[in-house]
Amino acid sequence: MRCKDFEQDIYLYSELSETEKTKVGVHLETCAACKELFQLVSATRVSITEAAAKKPEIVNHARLTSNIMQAVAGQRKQSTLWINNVFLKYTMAAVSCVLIIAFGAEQISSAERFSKPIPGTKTVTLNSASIIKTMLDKNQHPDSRSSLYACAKSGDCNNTFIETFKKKSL
Amino acid sequence: MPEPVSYELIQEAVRGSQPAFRAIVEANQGFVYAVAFRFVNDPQEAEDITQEVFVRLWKNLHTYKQEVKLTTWLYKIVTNRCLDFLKSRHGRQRKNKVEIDRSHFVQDRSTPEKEFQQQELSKIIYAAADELTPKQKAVFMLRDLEGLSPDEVSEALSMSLGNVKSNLFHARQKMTEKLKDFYQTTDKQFL
Repeated sequence: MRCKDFEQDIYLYSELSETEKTKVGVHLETCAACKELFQLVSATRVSITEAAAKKPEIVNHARLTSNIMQAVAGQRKQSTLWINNVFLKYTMAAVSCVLIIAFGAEQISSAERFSKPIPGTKTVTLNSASIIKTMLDKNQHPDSRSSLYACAKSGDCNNTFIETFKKKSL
Repeated sequence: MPEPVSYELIQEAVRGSQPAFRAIVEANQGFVYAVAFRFVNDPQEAEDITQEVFVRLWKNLHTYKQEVKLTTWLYKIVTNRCLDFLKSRHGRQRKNKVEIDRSHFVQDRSTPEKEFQQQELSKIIYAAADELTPKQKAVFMLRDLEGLSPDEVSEALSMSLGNVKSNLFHARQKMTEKLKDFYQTTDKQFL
């Protein structure tokens, strides 16, 4: 193995297994450059450990605890409000659903009411064949006095007047 | 590392006991603050982050599982919050004008020279740590400054063990380079 292969192991020496540490140790005995690097890394680790021993201190423990407990109490309040809010939302949604269903049911029942025939009226069936026949007859016998009025009066083309009128309008 | 909090106490806090939650806060706020301070180098920001961490803990305490150590969970929350802070605009602006206030550290009263030397060294270490990438910094903080095991770091940062080692290697390499410069420029013999 070359020195480059040991570089990472030197930096991560404390994370190595005992077997790996022995391998590094054997290499260090024969390689001055790696031994120098190992010493530098070890010295750095010592400096860092010394710096780590000096923990940052809270200025006022009691004040921080009190602030935390107040913030938590604030969250509890918000949480209760949120629950109320959710309850209100669900109630409003339920009321809306009931209203929509009621409106829909009302629409369906009115549609059914209008589809029923109004008492006293007859069902009207347009008979366009009859009026065409009358017209054709008129063309074939120009002297005949057949007219729309006569047709309507005689009842031959009953219920066709409206349709004819529409055709004329168009 | 703080004394582990009993599972019964956590369960009491889950059931809404304020004294139980206060006991959890009192037992753990010191190390949470220390981690936050080491990340952000500002006592006020560190206190704000500590507060947010415990509020987040309170909100999620009902999902706590006994097999995970509460401290590991807290390390996870505080590190994530600190990484968010460092990524934020405010955090990036702060980084440029960071002045580490050593008065918030526990003082070593052995000798004035030693104290001064250690303060200088700490300044260099924290300034060098500020130049690491956020992931490298997080791994370095938890492993080398907080003394967590590689598995605990992996758990706290949701990172594979290989990834932890890779980040640790690069972080230590950079730190060694910085300290080497310091040793040379200050003419101090550390080796």
